[in-house]
Amino acid sequence: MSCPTLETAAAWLLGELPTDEAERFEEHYFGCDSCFQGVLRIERLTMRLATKLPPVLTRNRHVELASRARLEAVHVAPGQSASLRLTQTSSLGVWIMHAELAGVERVDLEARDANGRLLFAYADVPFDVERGQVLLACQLHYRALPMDPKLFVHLREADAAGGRELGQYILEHQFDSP
Amino acid sequence: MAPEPSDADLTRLIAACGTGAVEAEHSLFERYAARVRLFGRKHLRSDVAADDLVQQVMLRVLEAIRAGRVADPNKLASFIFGTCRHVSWDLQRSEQRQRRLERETELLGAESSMPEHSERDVVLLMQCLAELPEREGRVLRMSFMEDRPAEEIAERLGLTSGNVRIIRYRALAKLAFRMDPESKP
Repeated sequence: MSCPTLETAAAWLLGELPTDEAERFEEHYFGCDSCFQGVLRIERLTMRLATKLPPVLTRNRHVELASRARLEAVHVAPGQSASLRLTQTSSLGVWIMHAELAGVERVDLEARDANGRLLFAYADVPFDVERGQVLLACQLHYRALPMDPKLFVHLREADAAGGRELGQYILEHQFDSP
Repeated sequence: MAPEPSDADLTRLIAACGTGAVEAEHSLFERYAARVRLFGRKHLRSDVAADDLVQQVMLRVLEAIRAGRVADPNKLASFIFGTCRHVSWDLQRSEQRQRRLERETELLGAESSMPEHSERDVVLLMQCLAELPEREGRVLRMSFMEDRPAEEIAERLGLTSGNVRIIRYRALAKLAFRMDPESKP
């Protein structure tokens, strides 16, 4: 059997292969170093995606994280700024951005630096209608990312009519040096 | 440097020496334990159960080799895979599994949520993710960073959930390749 592609390894890991194909892949990787390493890389990647990038948190994820680790949280109203300080012992924070979200169906988030350069943009992020909140996580290891200590974050409601501004926020962060 | 002994070499050595071939048994364990553990994580969905699987499978395999029950030493990988599949079925049926899951949940609750990682990897991951086509990046973000089910993503993006699943594994493979272009696509 020739080696399956990384796509097949990813499909197997996510449970998307038909049973017979999944079994063929499993038997193959038991005897193939290259494919075994490939599927391990995919598995590590899914874990990194889930834990390492700046995610917008769902309410459930926020509650779960807060129950497991010390979590710094700061509230920020539209037009205001808020600051998080993260250290080795307190490496996870959340900016809780407040906005009027009643009736809103989709929220887009965009973060720029002080010069207006786009840092990251996420379309259709999770939000909490009831509390009127969007939760942006901040982790100590973001200090390695090319981000200014000040993020200018815009929340927009996206709809067929082009949407409207929900709020602008200045989110500052200070990180302990590595 | 001498080439590593083949599966067949190790099997013959263990069969000949019984419990005396400690190094050969260790080499075999090193070679296959991680593969069995991966199988366990996938099918048993628990690190604790996956560790149990490794212990049980490797023990059965070594006993079979010592007793001369491995008919073709050149097909040891297939033999280990078959054993792994059978033990895994047994474990899945076992009532003890539920208790192990409960124990693991307790352990998880005591752990920090942030695993060790390289900060350089974070930068590379963010860059590679940003280079993906917009829809693929969104599917990965919604799936893994926001824990949204395929059905919800499909609804948000105007796709079928089947399409979302296909985009998800294809994008994941593409991202893995971009993170390590030396590897096979």
